[in-house]
Amino acid sequence: MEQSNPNKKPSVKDLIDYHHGNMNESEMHSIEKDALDDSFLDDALEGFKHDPNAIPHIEQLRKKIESRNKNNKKGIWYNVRPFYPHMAVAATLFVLAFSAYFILIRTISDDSSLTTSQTQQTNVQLSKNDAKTQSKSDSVDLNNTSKETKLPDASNEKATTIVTAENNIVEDVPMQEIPTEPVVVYKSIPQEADVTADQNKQESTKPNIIQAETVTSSQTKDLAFSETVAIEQDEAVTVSSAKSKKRAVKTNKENANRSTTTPVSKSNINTAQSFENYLQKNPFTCTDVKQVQLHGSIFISFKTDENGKPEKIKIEKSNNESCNEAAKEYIRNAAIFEKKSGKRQTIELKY
Amino acid sequence: MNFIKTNPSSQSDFHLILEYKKTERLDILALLFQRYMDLLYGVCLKYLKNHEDAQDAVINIYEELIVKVKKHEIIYFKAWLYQLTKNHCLMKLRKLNTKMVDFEDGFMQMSDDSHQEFVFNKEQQLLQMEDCIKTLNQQQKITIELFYLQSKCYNEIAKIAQMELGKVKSHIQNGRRNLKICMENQSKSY
Repeated sequence: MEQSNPNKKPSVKDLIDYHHGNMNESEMHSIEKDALDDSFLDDALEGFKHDPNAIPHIEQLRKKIESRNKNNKKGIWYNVRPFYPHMAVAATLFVLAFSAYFILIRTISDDSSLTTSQTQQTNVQLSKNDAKTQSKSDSVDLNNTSKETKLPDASNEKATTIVTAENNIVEDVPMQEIPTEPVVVYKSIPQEADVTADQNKQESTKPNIIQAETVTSSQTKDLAFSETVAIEQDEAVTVSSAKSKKRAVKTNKENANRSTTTPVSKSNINTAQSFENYLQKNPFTCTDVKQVQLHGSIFISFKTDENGKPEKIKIEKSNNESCNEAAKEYIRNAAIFEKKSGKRQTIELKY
Repeated sequence: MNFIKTNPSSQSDFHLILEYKKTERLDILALLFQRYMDLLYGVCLKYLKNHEDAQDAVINIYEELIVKVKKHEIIYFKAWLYQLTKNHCLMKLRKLNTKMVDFEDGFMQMSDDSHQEFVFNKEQQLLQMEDCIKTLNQQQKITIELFYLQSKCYNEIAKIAQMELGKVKSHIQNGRRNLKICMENQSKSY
């Protein structure tokens, strides 16, 4: 149902003229007739007699309404108002996707680190097993040359399940056979060749030269292996040092977890050698960066004491600070080098 | 779907209302409002008798309109706006605690007459009107005959009939109402 648009209505000027007497009778009659049919017009006609200057006042009203409409004009967001629901859905989806992405990335990185640590743990356990068998086989030889070899008492420890990384076989390995704590190995080194038999006899009961190496359990395998080599070398090479020195290096668990230093071999302990040879035999590795396959080098300097043992170890330059401690530990646990007392020598460790 | 947009100024009130409800564009409402703003101002002047108050009232009514047009189902915008204006002015007068405006005789009746259409046969209407005019009182009969049959304005009727100008209008309005009632009764009897 529509309303017709009445455009034939008298203008404001007509209504004002009506009151000012500027109309003839017929025009007045026409307006009155319209007013009788239209009460709106009739009231307006009556009202205009109170304002002879109605036209400028009406113009003012028009301007006010236009300015009110201008002030009420909305910005760009008002124009996109119909798309608010779509925009809300899109924003929600974006936030969800963004969060899911980060959660996924985090989960993947956690999984990979877990797998790596599991692999490392497995390798350590495998090396323990090997070390155990090796140490058993070497125990006879060790008894011949070294006076005393002690392993930590782990009888109270329970068996642990080991998952091998290669074949995923679950094995129950009794922990009492595989020491998890760092093992302090006391090794006796025979004195110079001209030591008398009596002295040797006394030394057989009390070791003259005892080197205590605190090694992690993962190093046991290499240690056991290297002991055999060291015994052979002991026979061939005369150790220059007359006095024994007890050396105990404590390796805390954090360092053991963070970085696995290269296992110390017995050859390194007993033999004065050049560092190049040592480095070839025992390459330096830094587990922190090995996981992400990063490579670099650390320039490390140290002095050797009169026994050829590294001291005053200092990192000169490093590509990765997380490997610094491992490098220091590597040098600290390293062999007795050629005596260069007083001279600080700098070497490069590549990883 | 309308691919060619029509000029809003040429659209009817009803279409403009629909357009405003749909888009909430104030320029459309302003266009609709300004069609009747001069009359509206006149009505406000009639009740408030002051051009400043009348101007304020017009702006306030426009503000009301922005909200009310969206809420109400409006078919006859002009009549609806007239009623809204009257109510607004009366409310304002009530708040000001001023004396109410005296309504002339037949004022309320007149609003009813404005939207009614008579469909009669011309001959039948003339016959009925002749009979009904006879039933009116003398003053109503004179003013009606002078106004409708002789096309005299109020001033002329006042002079001829020697009445006050306000009473001429009143007699004409009352005569119209009585004529209408009379003619409706006659058409029913036929």
